[in-house]
Amino acid sequence: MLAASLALNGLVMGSVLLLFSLGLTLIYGVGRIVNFAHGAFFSLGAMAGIWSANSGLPFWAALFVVPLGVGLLGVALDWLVFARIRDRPMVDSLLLTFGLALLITGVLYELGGRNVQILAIPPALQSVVSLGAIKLPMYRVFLSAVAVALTMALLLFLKNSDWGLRVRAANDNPEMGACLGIDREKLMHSVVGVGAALAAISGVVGAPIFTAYATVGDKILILAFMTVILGGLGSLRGAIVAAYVVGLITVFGEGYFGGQLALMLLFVLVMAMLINWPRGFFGEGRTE
Amino acid sequence: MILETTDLTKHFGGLKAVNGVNLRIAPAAIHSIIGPNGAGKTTLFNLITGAIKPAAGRVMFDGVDVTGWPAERLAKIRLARTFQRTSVFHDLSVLENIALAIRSREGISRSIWLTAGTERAIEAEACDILGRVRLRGREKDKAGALAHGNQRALDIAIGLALKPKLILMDEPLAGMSRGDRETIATLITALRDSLGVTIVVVEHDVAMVMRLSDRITVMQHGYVIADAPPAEIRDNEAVRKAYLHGSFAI
Amino acid sequence: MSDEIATMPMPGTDRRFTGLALLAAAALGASVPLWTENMPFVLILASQAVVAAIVALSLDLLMGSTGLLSFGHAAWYGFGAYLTGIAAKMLTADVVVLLPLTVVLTIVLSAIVGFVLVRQIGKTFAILTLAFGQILFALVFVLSSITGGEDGLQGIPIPTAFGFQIVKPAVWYWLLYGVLLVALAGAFHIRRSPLGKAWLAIRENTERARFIGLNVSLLKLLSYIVSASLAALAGGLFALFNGAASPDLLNWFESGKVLMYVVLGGVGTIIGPVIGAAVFTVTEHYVSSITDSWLIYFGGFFVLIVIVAPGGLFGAVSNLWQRIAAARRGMSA
Repeated sequence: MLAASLALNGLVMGSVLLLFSLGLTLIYGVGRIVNFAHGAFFSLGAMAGIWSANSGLPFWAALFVVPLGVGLLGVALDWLVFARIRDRPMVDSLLLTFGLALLITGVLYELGGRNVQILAIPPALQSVVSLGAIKLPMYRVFLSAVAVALTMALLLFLKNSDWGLRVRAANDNPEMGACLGIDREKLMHSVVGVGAALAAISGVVGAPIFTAYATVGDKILILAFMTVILGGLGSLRGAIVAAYVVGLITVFGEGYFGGQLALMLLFVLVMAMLINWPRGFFGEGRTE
Repeated sequence: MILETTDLTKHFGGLKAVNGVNLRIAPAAIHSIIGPNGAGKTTLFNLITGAIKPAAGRVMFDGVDVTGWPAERLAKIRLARTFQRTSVFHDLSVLENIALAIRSREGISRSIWLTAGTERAIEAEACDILGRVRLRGREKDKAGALAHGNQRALDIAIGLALKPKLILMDEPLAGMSRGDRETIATLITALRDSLGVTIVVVEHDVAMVMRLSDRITVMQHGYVIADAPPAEIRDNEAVRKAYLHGSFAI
Repeated sequence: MSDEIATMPMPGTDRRFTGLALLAAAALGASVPLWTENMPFVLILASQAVVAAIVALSLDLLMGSTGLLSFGHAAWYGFGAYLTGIAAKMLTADVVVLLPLTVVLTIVLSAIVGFVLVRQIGKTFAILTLAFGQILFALVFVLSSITGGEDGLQGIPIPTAFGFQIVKPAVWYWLLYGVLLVALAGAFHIRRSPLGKAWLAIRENTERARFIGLNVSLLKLLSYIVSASLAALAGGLFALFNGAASPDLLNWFESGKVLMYVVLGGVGTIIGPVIGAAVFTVTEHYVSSITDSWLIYFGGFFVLIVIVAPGGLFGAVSNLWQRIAAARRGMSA
């Protein structure tokens, strides 16, 4: 029974991880930026969830307001900060987002992020679902439903919309994207905005479970990095499979060995995999 | 034969980029590989130098099967290459560019202590090589400060420092001024004549190739369509046809 | 004489001048305990700055030579601190045993980890180093029965050397400073050696380096091991000096700081990161005594430096200096 329950929780974890990692993958795919500040966006989302609750905003409203706000912040950051280093060597983008992560974390510390806070689950979602002998809190079901729905929506949007076409074109080949007359600046603003919004909504819906504090996003960032490496940097379908693999490994590892050891297990696994398959599950990770 | 490929084949998707190529290269000769764009010349080069692995076939160099060997191992058995885009160490001095290759050849690149005698010997050899490519006097300059033609010469000199039996040159004349082309061409001939190095050249400048080469291999659509001395190539019907649509005149 | 130097730019003059300046700086550094007798606190701060300088130097041996960018360098610093601290509590307090033991074990572990890491492209390498840092951070909590977990490793005994206890702050300072000077001399020596040149060749043009027969993976691994070992040595010294080690040593903020020292000082300049570390450590101390929100200023400054002066502040200054010197030489010639 434990195994079945862990498997379900692993899927929940995988769904959240996927939602979070998609933004990371898109920002990497279009802008070739490995966003070390993505975890800080998650923390910001979680903290903003707490602030909304404290100011009397209903949970449902926070689900819209928080990602919108953080998304706009993402657009602003891309416009004001990332745009300055667009043509610089890769090293600069890594350093820049790393510095940004420190900055956002510092701000969150000042805004109450030193203490662990828990976002209350709305009354409507406080029940427990029974699947045979397995009991799963209703909120976890809701959490994965939100994550899966948003992921599907994003994938459909990528597939069918004009924006999606541009993103995919730029993802496949930046020069070609430019050739198709794509305004890379605007596209990148929107991609960073969407990525930040996805990270923030993961943070806010995750806050009743993962809690909220200034560095709550650190662990999920590491898991997401493992995800994108397993899936291959820049590969969307790789990220989808890898998110659930990582989610399951994490939850099973936590169930049987304890949380920190699970992280180590995962790291060893990723290292072992890199020896044989340096380009991820589908062999389509970038190696430039 | 110093370099021999047997049925060398490589596909990209459904496309056969290199198809059953049998290349036989005689020692101490200048052997050029030409062909219209997309003929598979660069792929062939990459197959020989281990940058990509062949789907089938093998590469023999100096009696050793070197199929799929990584670059550093090829360098150790004296197979050098130069690059289409000039490839030198810009921030290091001209002399240091050469010394790096000499030390690598001697297997002392990981040492942290050399005797003064060894250092002087390396420096002397490097100066000697620089003399051959007419870069004497520029030893202390940064490689990045050299003019384009001189950088290409340095690129070749780095290859020479490996005391190669064979140098693969990927479009050594590409993007050079007319004067520089002459200089590099003279240099290539001199290497064959004075050092007995085998030189395999992929080149677009057909006129220059005709003048320089001892033998020419012509490729089209991944196949070898001709392999003969320049005079015969000139009169070869298949080659004429292959180039008919191209921008080259023979 | 001074006129002669100004008007006759002989080759070697610059070098001699630089040598003298370095000697003066080294002497000034060594004299710190002499004029801080009444300010024990300043001496402790100076000691911390020296440790930071060693760590910065260790990272520059990686970033500045083979161009590998580590976002988890604090992992090795913290690893050395905990390893030395635990060994001091369980085995012996003799530094002559402790520090070599730490270095040897670090060489072994970094060789294993590095074997996989150095084969990755730049971005994957960067991500994995960050992850490795977090893994070691987590390990402190997994092994909390040995490491003390959240409370940190307490009660590290006072170390001894040849039967004498190392207690006096001045002695500590000179010990740390001596290690820094030796490490600096080693770094400069390696930079000029075939190994250092081969590293630079890889940083500049990996493809070409391969085709002149350099074993790129092995050379990168060597620089990773050297870098990790020096960082661990610094960590070990710090744990013994401080008498305790905290999990914060392994935090990614710490890795960020080390990275900042190097970027601030100029990647690959060897001396720049050392100065960067010293300046930064002292600044951090005074700024954090004024305000709690140190991380905000730190992060903001970090972002600003990357955008405005990617070659580092000292890099920018030394560029300017060289340009002025060149202009003067041009005028006098």
